Amino acid sequence: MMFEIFSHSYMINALLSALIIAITAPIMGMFVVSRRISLIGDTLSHVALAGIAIGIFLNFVPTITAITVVVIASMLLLKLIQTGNVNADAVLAVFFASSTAIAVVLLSLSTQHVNLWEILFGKSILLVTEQDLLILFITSAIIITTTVFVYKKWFIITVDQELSKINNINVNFYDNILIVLTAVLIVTAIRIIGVLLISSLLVLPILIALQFSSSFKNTIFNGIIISIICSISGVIIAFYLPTHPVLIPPGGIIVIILSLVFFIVLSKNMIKNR
Amino acid sequence: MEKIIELEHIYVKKGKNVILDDISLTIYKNDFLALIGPNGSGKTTLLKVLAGVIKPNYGKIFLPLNNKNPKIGYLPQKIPLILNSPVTVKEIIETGINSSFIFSDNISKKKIMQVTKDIGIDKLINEKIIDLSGGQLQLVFLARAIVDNPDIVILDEPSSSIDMKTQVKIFNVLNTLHIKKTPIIFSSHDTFAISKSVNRLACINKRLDFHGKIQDFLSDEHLTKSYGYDAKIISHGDHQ
Repeated sequence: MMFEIFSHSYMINALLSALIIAITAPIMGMFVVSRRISLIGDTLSHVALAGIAIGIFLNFVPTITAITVVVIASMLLLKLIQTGNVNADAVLAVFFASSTAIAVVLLSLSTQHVNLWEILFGKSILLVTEQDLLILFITSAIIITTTVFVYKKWFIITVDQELSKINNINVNFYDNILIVLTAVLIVTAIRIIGVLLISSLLVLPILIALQFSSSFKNTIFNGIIISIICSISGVIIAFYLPTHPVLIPPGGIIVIILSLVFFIVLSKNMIKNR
Repeated sequence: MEKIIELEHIYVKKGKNVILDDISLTIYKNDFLALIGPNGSGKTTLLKVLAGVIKPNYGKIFLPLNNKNPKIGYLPQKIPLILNSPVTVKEIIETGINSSFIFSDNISKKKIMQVTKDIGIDKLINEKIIDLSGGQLQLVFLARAIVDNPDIVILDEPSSSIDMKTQVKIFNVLNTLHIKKTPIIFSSHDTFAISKSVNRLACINKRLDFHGKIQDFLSDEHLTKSYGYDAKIISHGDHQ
């Protein structure tokens, strides 16, 4: 009974996809949280929704239109933030609103059958395919490899912009790598977690880890551990919850667990510091 | 004498305000140069131009042909505050070592150990920088500036929030670096810091009022012109 979960191939796919997202999302999350652009995950996931809507409206592969739209929008968004003419949060808010509006209009006009529930809240664990898993694995491998080789540059840009200039670091280039990789991760993970929940996986594990970690690198490591534990628990709980015949997408359970852990750790810290 | 950086007719303005007006200054290999001047005279801006943080509106910066990309150790006047991340002393000093890779090699680890011992902050190495005092932070960023054997060290008010004992320690470290042929340029209002080690002085007040040996600067006329008020040199025995 206890290991029944492993006897279903769809559950193995669900667990593996949760594991891959849990390892990768906090890495990007640490940099976006430290750069004070935590809402970028929410914004890019809604831009991805617009990209999916364009694909559905044009009767084209939604993943390809989503990736194209998100990559272009993320670079444009970064450019606008870097110019400094408008605050970062205002730029994010404009992209968030306009993307949602485009998605609403195009999905309403679409003649195709659209499973909006699945796009917004993620797939049922029964529906994570091997193709989903492969795309996620490749994206994750690219993100982890890139991080190993450019970590120091991202770190310097995050903590000291003046030093970036002195060391002739091409801030624009490395920022674009960071934002494009975050955007691609969001699009690939949306297929499993959903538009409305993916940003939580990017930010919540890091916000929890920040409450007790001893260094920047240690925060990323702790964020990954927290993310893995909560994500795997979420998938297992979703499987064993007696909700038959309804299957709850695990994304929702994972984010509820992460939110609970966040409030528990935060409360503990607040009591300790009183 | 070997030139490290040569500034020619540098002009910097912010909006309508002129910050640096036609400054020409050469930094030599054997320089231990103090940059002085009243508040708002453009010292920080000049150091930022030298470090490559600010591009001048006009003027030219020449670097020697054999080292077009000198390694610069820089201590900013305003320490960047990283309030929302638990960045440690070690992680900040590591940023002074040129590398992209996530893991530190053994040479980098040894360099960090050595510099923290030299400056006396080895016990703080795993502390978060948000938990440090202003003086300790300054020492951490000084360690970052000198950790990777830079070609030139540029320090913006290195002794501004540091007690006398630590100042002596810092200037001993800087003297050792200077003996090893590393040129050092720093801004300061601190006469102790200036009289202790420097072999050259530059005084600016938007324009370069004086540059040369410290003894040549010490006249009532130079001081009054540079600081804009009636200044007098007081002698006590052999000391001025």
